[in-house]
Amino acid sequence: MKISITVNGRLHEADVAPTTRLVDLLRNGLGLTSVKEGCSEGECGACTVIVDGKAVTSCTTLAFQMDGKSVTTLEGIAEETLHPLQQAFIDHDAVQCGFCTPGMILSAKALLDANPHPTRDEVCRALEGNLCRCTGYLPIVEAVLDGAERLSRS
Amino acid sequence: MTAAVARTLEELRARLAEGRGKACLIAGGTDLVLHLHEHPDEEPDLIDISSLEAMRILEKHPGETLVGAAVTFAEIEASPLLQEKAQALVMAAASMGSTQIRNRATLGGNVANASAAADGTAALCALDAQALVEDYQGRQERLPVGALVTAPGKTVLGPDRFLLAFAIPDGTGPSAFFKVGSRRAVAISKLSLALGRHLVLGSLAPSPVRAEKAQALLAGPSREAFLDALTEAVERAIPTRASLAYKRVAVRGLGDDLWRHLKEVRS
Ligand SMILES: Cc1cc2nc3c(=O)[nH]c(=O)nc-3n(C[C@H](O)[C@H](O)[C@H](O)COP(=O)(O)OP(=O)(O)OC[C@H]3O[C@@H](n4cnc5c(N)ncnc54)[C@H](O)[C@@H]3O)c2cc1C
Ligand code: FES
Ligand code: FES
Repeated sequence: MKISITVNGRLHEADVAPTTRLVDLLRNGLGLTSVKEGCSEGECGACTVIVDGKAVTSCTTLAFQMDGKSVTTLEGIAEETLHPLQQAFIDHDAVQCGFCTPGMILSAKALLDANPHPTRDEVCRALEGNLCRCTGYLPIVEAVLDGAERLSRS
Repeated sequence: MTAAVARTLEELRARLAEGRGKACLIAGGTDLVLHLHEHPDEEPDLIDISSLEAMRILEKHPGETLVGAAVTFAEIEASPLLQEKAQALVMAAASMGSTQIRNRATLGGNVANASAAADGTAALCALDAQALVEDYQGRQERLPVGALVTAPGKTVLGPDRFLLAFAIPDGTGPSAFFKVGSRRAVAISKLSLALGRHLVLGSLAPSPVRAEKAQALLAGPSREAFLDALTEAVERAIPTRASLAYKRVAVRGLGDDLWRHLKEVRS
């Protein structure tokens, strides 16, 4: 099926098989390798992207369902410098192996876009669907809270 | 194998009439995409209904509230109308999966997937909700949600019928939902308790099980008697299963949560 999908602000026409998942289209079709495939079951959040403002797991979504929609991956959030959330993750040592990081940052960005001043509990809830095997989560939560501050100042 | 998007009921009916028997609806995909990924040999004709207008309604009607089959759990959780009319469903939605899953997963997909552990189904059964079922020729009927699921993964719908919406009657009294075991990986330890017009236990049998005796004791003075009746209901529903020992204890925790919650809302 032929679809039009906006990815990181650019309109793409793609011909996708019925069962091609969004993660397959983004990684293999468009070369956006920040989108990680961990569990393939919607559990780990490594494949998280933002669709029309909402965080979704791209391994539980089919590509053809995204016809007419707008998708953001990590490649789409930095401009000339890193996005304030990316910088906050670095400054708080919230990145170790880095496999969970793109998904974490996109879940956090979707939260902050809707709720610029979240409480700690709201941050934890927004990141519930993103697993990290390395950091123990605390630096990530700090990074998101600090990222929120940086964004409201910028 | 084909894929199409249906944005109106007319389009959906036409697709179903064309694809008689082979068509497969897809809403959020949070159950179906995992299934298709594990079974690459299946070649369904997929029809996306996640943006079909008539399935996206959330409306108050005389005597009932209508929730479209393609309304997501994130939308349910955020709905002031449902917070007022169907607290059990709102609490179930809030307990579902993760933010990413709630953003995609729909109420209709939850019910149609017919998992014993479907939290939306348990809440709807407690609220005495009816499903508005339609066929490819536009014939509509209403069925109690509790009568839809016949066995794990099986419903009475068949390939020609679909879920359009759910009707939740007014005046079901205080309603609430509690569960243990939210991660899919630990499905065996799942258990839920939902109160509306009925008190039901989810994850015990293919369809939610009513706990009438416990419900009657919920208005009484003795918390222990209420909890004992819940344990009995679990024992009756799964007399021999390995999870019994765990679930007969776990249900008391849920009962406790409900007992305290009702005290709070009543005071
Ligand atoms: C990580 C993760 C966590 C989860 N946690 C929970 C949880 O806590 N509680 C819980 O209950 N579930 C949970 N689930 C399961 C799943 O998210 C839900 O069952 C969800 O509601 C399914 O809805 P969907 O729109 O994604 O359905 P889909 O996957 O699109 O469809 C599921 C089935 O329903 C059929 N269908 C869809 N819409 C209709 C319709 N309108 N009429 C007829 N048939 C239809 C499809 O053909 C398919 O067979 C979880 C899943 C994942 C991946
Ligand atoms: S790969 Fe999608 S959630 Fe794990
Ligand atoms: S940094 Fe390694 S999984 Fe999170």
